[in-house]
Amino acid sequence: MQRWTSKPLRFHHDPRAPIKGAALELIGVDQRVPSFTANVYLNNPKVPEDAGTEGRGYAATFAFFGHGEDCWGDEGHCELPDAVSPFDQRAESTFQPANVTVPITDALTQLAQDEQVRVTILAWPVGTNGSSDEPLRFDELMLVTYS
Amino acid sequence: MTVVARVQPRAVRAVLKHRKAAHKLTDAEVKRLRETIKAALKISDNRGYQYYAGWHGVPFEWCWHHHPLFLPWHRAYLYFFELSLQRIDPEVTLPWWDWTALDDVPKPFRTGALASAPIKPFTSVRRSNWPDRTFRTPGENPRVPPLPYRNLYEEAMEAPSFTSFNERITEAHDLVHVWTGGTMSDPAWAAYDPLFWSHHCMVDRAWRIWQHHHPGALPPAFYLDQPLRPRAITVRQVLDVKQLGYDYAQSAATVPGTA
Repeated sequence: MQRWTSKPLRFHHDPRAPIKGAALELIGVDQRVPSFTANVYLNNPKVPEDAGTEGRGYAATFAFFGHGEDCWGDEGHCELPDAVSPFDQRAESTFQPANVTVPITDALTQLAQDEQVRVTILAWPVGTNGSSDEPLRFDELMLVTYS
Repeated sequence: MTVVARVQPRAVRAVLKHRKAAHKLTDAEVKRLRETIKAALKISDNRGYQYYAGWHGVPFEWCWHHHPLFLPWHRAYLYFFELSLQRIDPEVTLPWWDWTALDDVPKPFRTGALASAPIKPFTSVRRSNWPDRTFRTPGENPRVPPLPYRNLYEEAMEAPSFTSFNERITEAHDLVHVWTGGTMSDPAWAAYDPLFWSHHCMVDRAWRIWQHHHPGALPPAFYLDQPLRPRAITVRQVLDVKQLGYDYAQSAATVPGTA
């Protein structure tokens, strides 16, 4: 099981224009990971592993259909290739990092007065294409809200 | 002087084929699909089941996920695979798995040739750790929410743009793969499972219905003229399912006309 907690993310709360939508955007998610499932919690970094959807601050569950951590090809097969020349017009790699959007509207609106939130993600590999303890790898987490 | 005479293309009466809900197929339709899949599995060249299954994962890896080409690529994939089946039986169509209503794998996919298929990739080598057959563990992972995923579908339907719809339906798509478990949860082997095609028909159907309610909402312009490998068909060419010869119907019935 992987536990990851963000630094505080600030958001704007305006009672005259209440939040009608909120989402976490995981940016640059590595696709060369095992398929996994994950739970998202807000302001509860020590949420127990077995808290499930009843845990305090529960916001969402999502899954990721990952390519797998064990490359079946020869050496270098799953590396992200650079263009070999300025004239290289081949399509980009299907393994390029992805962005994943996780809606958290209901959970965030309950914390709207706080105007900042820490996000904790617990992730478990499904177990069929790798068992890495850290299946979730990404560059940035963005919190977006809409009124 | 040489005169080249060009014969007019023969007029063909084009009748759309309707993909139907898997759980509503008649016994005869299930039998037809099962027999066609079995026949496709017996073809060992690039018209057969193993060849098309290999487009998605091992060995070709032409699929796109978590990407703007996710929906167009899989629509084209279903189109070419369905044509390969219709070469065997012109009346067969791919059914859709309604995971917004069902809490389990559709019944036709629980037995026989639709329950599991051999895995024989088009490669010159075979790794010792590769599975020989597809298998599933539906609903066994307690951390994956149980089916049906009606709410995720409805949230996707409310998406205001293609990009947003693509993100939201991907969320449901990934969950269904992981809920099904086994080789279906691994992109390398998922398409070898006959259930894969019905899962993606449902995703494709969702896109088609969303398109119906959002006429003119297109994938990003940058992608419209991109070919969907390995074929030359472009994103723009797969936007209208009726141009691909199929549609989705809750039911479809015909009666003889005056002829």
